[in-house]
Amino acid sequence: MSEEKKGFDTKEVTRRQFLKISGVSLAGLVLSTPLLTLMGCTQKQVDEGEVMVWAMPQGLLVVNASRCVGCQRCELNCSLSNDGAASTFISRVKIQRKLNLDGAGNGLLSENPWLYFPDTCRQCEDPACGKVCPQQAIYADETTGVRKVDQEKCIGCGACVQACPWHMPTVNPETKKSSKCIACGACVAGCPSGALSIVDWDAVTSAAQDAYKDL
Amino acid sequence: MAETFGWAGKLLRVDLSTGSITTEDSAKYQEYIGGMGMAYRIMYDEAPMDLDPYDEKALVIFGVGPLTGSGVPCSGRMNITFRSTWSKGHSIVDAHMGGHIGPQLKYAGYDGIVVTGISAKPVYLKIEDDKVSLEDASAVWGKGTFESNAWLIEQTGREFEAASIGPAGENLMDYSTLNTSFGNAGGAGVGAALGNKKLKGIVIRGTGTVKVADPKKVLELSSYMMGNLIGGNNNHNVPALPQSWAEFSAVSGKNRWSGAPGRVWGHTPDGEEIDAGEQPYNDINKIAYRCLKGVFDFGEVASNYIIKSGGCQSCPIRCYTQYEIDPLAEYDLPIHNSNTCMPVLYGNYAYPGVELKDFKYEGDAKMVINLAWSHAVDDMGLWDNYGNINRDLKWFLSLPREEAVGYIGEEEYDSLPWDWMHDGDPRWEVEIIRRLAMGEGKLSVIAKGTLAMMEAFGLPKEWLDRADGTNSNLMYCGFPNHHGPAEAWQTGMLYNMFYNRDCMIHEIVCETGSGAPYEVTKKVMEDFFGEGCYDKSKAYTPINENKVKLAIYCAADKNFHDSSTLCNWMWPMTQSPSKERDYHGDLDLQADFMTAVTGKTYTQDDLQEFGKKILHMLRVMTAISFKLNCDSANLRTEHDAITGWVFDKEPDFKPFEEGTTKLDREDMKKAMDMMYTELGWDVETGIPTAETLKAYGLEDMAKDLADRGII
Amino acid sequence: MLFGRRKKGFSTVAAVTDPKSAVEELQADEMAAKKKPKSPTFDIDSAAEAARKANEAGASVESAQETMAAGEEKVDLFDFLAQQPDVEDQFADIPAEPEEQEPEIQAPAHWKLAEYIRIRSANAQVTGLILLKSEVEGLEELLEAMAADETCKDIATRQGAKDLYYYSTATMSDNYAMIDVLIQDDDLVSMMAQMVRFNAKTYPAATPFFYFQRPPYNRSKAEVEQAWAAMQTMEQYQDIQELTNNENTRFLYSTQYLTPRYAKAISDVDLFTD
Repeated sequence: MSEEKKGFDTKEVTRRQFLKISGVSLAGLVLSTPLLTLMGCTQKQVDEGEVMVWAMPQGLLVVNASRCVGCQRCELNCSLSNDGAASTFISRVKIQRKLNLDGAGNGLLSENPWLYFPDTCRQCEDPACGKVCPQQAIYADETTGVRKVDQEKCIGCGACVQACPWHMPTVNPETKKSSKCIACGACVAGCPSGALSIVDWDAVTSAAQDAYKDL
Repeated sequence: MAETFGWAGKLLRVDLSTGSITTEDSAKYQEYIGGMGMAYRIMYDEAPMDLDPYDEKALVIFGVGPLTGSGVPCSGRMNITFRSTWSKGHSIVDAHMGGHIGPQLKYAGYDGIVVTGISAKPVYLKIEDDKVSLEDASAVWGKGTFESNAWLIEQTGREFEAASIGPAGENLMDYSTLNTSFGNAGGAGVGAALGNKKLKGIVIRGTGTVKVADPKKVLELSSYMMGNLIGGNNNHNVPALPQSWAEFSAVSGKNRWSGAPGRVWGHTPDGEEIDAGEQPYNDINKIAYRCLKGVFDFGEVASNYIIKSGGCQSCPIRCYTQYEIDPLAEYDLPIHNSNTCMPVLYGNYAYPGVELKDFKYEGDAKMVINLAWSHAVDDMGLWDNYGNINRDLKWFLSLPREEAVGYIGEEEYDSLPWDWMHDGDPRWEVEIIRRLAMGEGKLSVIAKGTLAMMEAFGLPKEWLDRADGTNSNLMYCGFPNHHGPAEAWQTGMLYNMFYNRDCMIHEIVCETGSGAPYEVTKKVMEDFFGEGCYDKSKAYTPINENKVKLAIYCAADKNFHDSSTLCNWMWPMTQSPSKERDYHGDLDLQADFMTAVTGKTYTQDDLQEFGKKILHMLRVMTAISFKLNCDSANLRTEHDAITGWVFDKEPDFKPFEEGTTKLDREDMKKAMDMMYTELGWDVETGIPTAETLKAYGLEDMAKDLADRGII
Repeated sequence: MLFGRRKKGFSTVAAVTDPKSAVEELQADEMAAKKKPKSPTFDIDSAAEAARKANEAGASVESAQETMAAGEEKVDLFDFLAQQPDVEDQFADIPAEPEEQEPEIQAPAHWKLAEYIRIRSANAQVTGLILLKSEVEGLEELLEAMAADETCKDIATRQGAKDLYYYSTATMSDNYAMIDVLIQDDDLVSMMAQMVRFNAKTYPAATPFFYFQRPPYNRSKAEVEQAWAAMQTMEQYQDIQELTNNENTRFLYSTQYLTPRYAKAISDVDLFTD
């Protein structure tokens, strides 16, 4: 192992590193103890593919499927916060579609009933949603860098929904406008089981530095 | 349709005979809140009690309310109103279900579904926003609810929520359910009510929203509730084991805030335990670990099988422990099991006198047997009538052969796989459940109801008086005690009298079972409901005015919950885990949520009046049914008569002596007088007076009662 | 109706019982889809199909997962990240938040002590004076300063049999401090008697034997039995009595606060009160 810090010297660099694996299971990787502690998960959960991370402006969004209890409070807090109405469909974090049958053999009515977890926008480095938008309505927010949908420009055509490999943007049938995750953190704040959590970049950075210091 | 907040604004009407599907504006039902209240008005107006419950014109009314799916915590419920076929009087009755389907109905744009008619062939109702259709369900007719629900979602799409009846409902077994999600079900015979209509299930997807007048306020109130007021399951406000932030814990260890350090989800797929840890009352992100229902139900051994906890939409309290019971694989039985309360508690009653053997871990015998029971009853869509099916079965299975064959005959008796029972084999209970659900043999009359069984077996009315500890029927109507006198003195007896099924009222048991010191809870209760309202455990005092008022409050509050819809196990926020609040909850919170969601101003007093109005409507329809079906409209003597054991149990104790929950006959007479008077009901008949009905805007019902010679 | 549509592979419920492979497959599908060259008319079904083919062909999409499949040593996350090609940081333009210049406050030394006690309290531990004496220099002055400091008013003390204990009322309840001090005293007979009396007086309730076997006491069954046997021989504990309820669970209670008849009644489990 190298003794360099390998590019985890500032939180900006750390974030850039994690963008490489946004929305991906960490299965196959070994996490240092400090990082596991921060993320509130275990190496075994990582090995089993139950831990996914998303790089967000304010930190690393961690989804621990083992802890998800399927209450949908993430969807409700999301839609109430962002859209002023309660819904699962227009929520920018998505669990309803994985709850009963996720199409991959999991969900309450499958042979593997106790595996369900929320999913959200990967904030892709090269966003298919933005590229396909005929109005160029999907832009990076100036202050947060998060991909957002310009509600003025959006014509609700749904191209972004189709283009996103995970169908994360959603056209609200009532407003005929698309919306997607803006990394506001409402889902995390209200998660009653800690299945969703955000670890801030400073903490991740120092965990990375600690990991190399120990070697 | 005017824009409304909270309510979806439309009612869906489905006629299974003609295939007609229409919608109408639901605004006129807002004065009944929704759910139960709305359904009672519709039932009275459109399907009088004169109809046979299985008449083509009989209605099954699915109802949600302004709070359903609105994001208010613990608001994921749906009420279903129909006619009882099994309790005395065959009157109006409700099933209540959780899961995730009620909110989907709202998101699809409906406050309710009124189903009439009888289909020529098995169908399911598909609702996708404003696209509603009846589809062929022949492929799953005869199938269990788990397979049916999965099939329904496979046919329609993965964002749909499904509910279906099982063989019990199809075969018109009166103890039958409608099942949704995993283990969530509405009971009371709704399976048969739908089976009669050949409606196998419903499947719903809504892409809309519940519009909320003040979303910021809803979020604020939610945080306030989750950070200050909410406790564990049944809103128990102290943990079961000492936690460092808490002054108190339940000494018996038996309360539903059962998550604690060292108690784990111990059977996670990776084998890595998740420790429930401490859950400080103000830590929102740990609430889901408070209720470790499996450990509450079965003790520490449960952890070996627990994968995680589930429950209903919007609720942070996860009362459905989700297990993998791998020993059941050896019997070719499903290993994934989840339910809460009755379906997981008394499956072992099918093995009277048998010393059950452990399966894999020391002390796991009862839990494995009970979880096999819960899956089988859920799959068959069989209802337990709050344990009556278990108790009646246990009574029968305990009989000596010579007596039992007198009821079902030698051939049937000997066809039962008794070896399985003696071996503690879970296939025994599954086979019994199958026979009950299929209506196979004379024994299956148990699933037609306690009263039907008594009639078939020639058991006298006094059978319901027996005081040997095996009996739970508080009245002679065919349904049992639900948190009655054993937990809530005369108040509990009184509120058990109103309904045509077990009352499903948890307003008092949530306090008496909380584990908090008596003086702490008493202070909360007396501050809210007046001096003398709250008796000490097994140390009761004679009836007083505040206990009577509390009984009425409980019923009115429950009626509001099933109308709005909120979970009555969690609501209202009576106690709090917060020492800073002196453990006082906030009874006004539900009214505050109503205001924030609907944009109309509500007070808790308003909600009580709505709840009382529903109580009067219920009583009117019950009186009409009793007049028609029991030849007497005197509800005091026909419906509210109390069984003997309530007064005669525990012969070593006198009523009001320290150590007993038995009641006193004279005292209860006085209590009933006081209650009828307080409600504005006739003291002799227990029926609302014309003046009372008029005061609640129910003039039409007053006239109807008069025309029928009831008042 | 994108998600209402029936998709290939969705008409039957796949018999996946292994959550590991389930999630991995899901992730693999998604990553394969992600790596497909993006075209303006992205077709979800063909993406899913491509992912499935990739998967069937055994083409694992994650280098880390490839390593795993090859049975090689797992890769450290940070190493893995460092080895991956750089990506554009879409958040890179974020104007650096102006670093809040916190005024340099010289924290008084006793604050550190108070914070130490608070952290231990939050971890359900009282802090003994003997421990502090062995760890902290100049303890006397610090304790005095702490006692005089308004901001440390949450620091409370409780006298145990052998030591004085500190805890923070901000993170620990008084009754829990009582329990933990009794645990620290390590006199099981005395602890059991005190808690049995406390529970009988406060709730009121008889105390099951198993109460002391559970957290935070965690004593063995044998220890509890031994202590009860010893207690019965001691004059000062003659108010402590045993009862067995209707489910054969054994309890202790104090006759100072409960009559035998009432103690038995409230310990009995009533059926059908679930």
